[in-house]
Amino acid sequence: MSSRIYGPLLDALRGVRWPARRAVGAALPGAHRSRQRGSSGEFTEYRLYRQGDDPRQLDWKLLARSDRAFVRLTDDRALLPTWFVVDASASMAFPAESDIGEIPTKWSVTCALTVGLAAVANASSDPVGLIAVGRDGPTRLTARTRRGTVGELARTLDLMTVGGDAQLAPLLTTIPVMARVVVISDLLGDSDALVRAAAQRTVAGGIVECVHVVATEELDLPPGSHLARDPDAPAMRRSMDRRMQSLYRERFDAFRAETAQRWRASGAGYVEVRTDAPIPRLVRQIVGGAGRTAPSDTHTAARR
Amino acid sequence: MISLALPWVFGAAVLAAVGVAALHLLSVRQPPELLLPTARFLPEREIRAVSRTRRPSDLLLLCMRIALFLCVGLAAAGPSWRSSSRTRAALLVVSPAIASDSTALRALVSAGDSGAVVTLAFADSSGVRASHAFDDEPAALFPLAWRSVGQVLSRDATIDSVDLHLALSTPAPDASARASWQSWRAVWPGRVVLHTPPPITATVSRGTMVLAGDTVGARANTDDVIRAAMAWHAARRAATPRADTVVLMRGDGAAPTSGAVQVVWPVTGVPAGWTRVASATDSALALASGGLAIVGPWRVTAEPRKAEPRMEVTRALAWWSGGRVAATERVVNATCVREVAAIARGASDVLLSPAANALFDALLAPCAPPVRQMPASLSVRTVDGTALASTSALSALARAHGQDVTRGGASRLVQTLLVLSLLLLGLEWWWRTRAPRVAA
Repeated sequence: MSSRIYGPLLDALRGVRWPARRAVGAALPGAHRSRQRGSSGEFTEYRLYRQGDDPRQLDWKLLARSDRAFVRLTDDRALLPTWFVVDASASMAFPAESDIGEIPTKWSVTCALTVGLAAVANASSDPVGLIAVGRDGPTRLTARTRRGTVGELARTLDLMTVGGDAQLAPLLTTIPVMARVVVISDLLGDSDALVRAAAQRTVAGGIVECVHVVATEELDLPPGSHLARDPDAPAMRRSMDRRMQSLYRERFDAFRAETAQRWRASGAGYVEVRTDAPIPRLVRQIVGGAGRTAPSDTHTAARR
Repeated sequence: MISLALPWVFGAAVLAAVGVAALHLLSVRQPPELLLPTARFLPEREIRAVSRTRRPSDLLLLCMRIALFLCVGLAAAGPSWRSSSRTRAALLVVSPAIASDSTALRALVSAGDSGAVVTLAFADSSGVRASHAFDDEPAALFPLAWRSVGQVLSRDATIDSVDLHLALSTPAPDASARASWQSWRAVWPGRVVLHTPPPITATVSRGTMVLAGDTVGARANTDDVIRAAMAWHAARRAATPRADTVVLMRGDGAAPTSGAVQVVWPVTGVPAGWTRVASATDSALALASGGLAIVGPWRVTAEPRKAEPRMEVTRALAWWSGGRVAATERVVNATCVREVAAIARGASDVLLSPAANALFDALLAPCAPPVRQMPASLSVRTVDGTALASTSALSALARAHGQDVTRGGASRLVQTLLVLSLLLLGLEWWWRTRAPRVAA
């Protein structure tokens, strides 16, 4: 791990927890609230004994006091594998490197967010995996909980070459359904297919979080007349001047609002982050936004 | 030094060149490229940035275009080379009464204007003199000057001024005293110098007028209007120099040889040797002499004979309004024979009016020796001698009278400029199409 780059970030995120937005269905014990009800977890309620219940779950003291048989119910905690689907297409290299100072690019912010979130998830003993699609194609790291996983993830991201036109939607189908998928992208590629894939996962019970990375330079265009060129589509050239910039801002704002609405309507979490914001704050914003429950989640329906 | 006939044309070319230079400071170019992943949100519209640069674009092309405009403007402005040295010219117009050999006069003119280029023009040609002998007449001298000025200017490109010298045959009062003089003089844009013979000194005496000859159709010496008019005018001219003896011939017979002045005014209106012409049926004619016109019931009867070269000198004394000569004077053996071909119909006192003074003064004037050559002593008088006639004004005068004035080297200069312009045009086109298009 490049402790020189990520060390301060990991120090700032020490103690941060990233609970799942809904009850998970994993069997292995972990830090996340499980849909399953067990006897070793936190006591939640009593239920009348029914034929077939485990007698070991009877509350004998209550039986002695009330002469009625009740079973103690507790919430289980389970692991939640967290997969990071990272967009390393050509558009993520914006803005271009400048000789004047160090301007954070969307890719550098993406890498930092991925490492930060992975460290938070790994601190809760959640397995952390990575799928990154760049110029050389997809790179996959299997979800693991062992020590050094976050470092390996960071090294993998550092070695990646940004470029090409990444298609992220097909990769979602390769990830187990009962996992938390975090898509970190600028959503300028296959955004429609990605939303549909995310909706399918959430319907199937999965958890999808979308981190929409937006560069500050994409919001505040440089003054004067320019000929804009899309790095993902080099044939596309659009001219812009002061009058065009106002129209551009209107269109881009409408795109972002529509994107947020679609992702949230699909049942996924959506957070927009900007490259000029501090990474620790962004991580906290993401993990804090994950505390909102999705409209389809009702832990009473999963009660047994 | 180059002088321009139309300097405003060259000024317009200079303004056009300045405009071209200003356009080269404006460059239309593609704006700088910017990598923007969200370019898809920009509207599709092609624009070109127009910016103003501190330095003109494509200096070589700019120089070629400026040179092209200046060459074309200079060629169209009518350039002509002018040497730094200045030469004055003299145009000498000689009255028809003076013989063709005027070497003395030419030498006198050259001596007066040292270094002047003298051009001689004679108001005389064979056959013209007898019928249109406008001796000292401004109407003949000045048009000849206009017709000759183009020839003078074309002789030398260094000529920058031309003086008009008029060699007159009549002593003072000369042609400048005539009523038409000022009108003709105003046309010449420069100095006019008159060369006149010395005044005739004659004693004032009461001469004797002898009326001789047969009178046809009238009683002798009593009912003849011409005789009466001659006598009346002779008495009027008592204080002016006049001939001692004037013989008036009213008949058709041969003129007597005695007498200094003989006036042959036949009753028939046809002096001996004249050609009879059909008389006009106009109610009135104008008989002009000495700048005055006598309008009366005249009849044109004859045309004068052609002058015999080297035998006699004929000069016109009076003209009809149509241009025919009505009265002439010829010298025969030191005798002035003045012939008049006119009939005054009916009794009329028009011959006693002031309009007839000039005619009868000419008939009664002493017989002056023919001026074959200008004498050594001349009365030289500058008339209205102010500004020098500029070559541009003279060139305009010459062109106004159909003369082609070509100053030395002007045509070659224009050709050179046009060839240079064509070369620059071709070079500009080649450079513009060959070089990458970096400016619109």
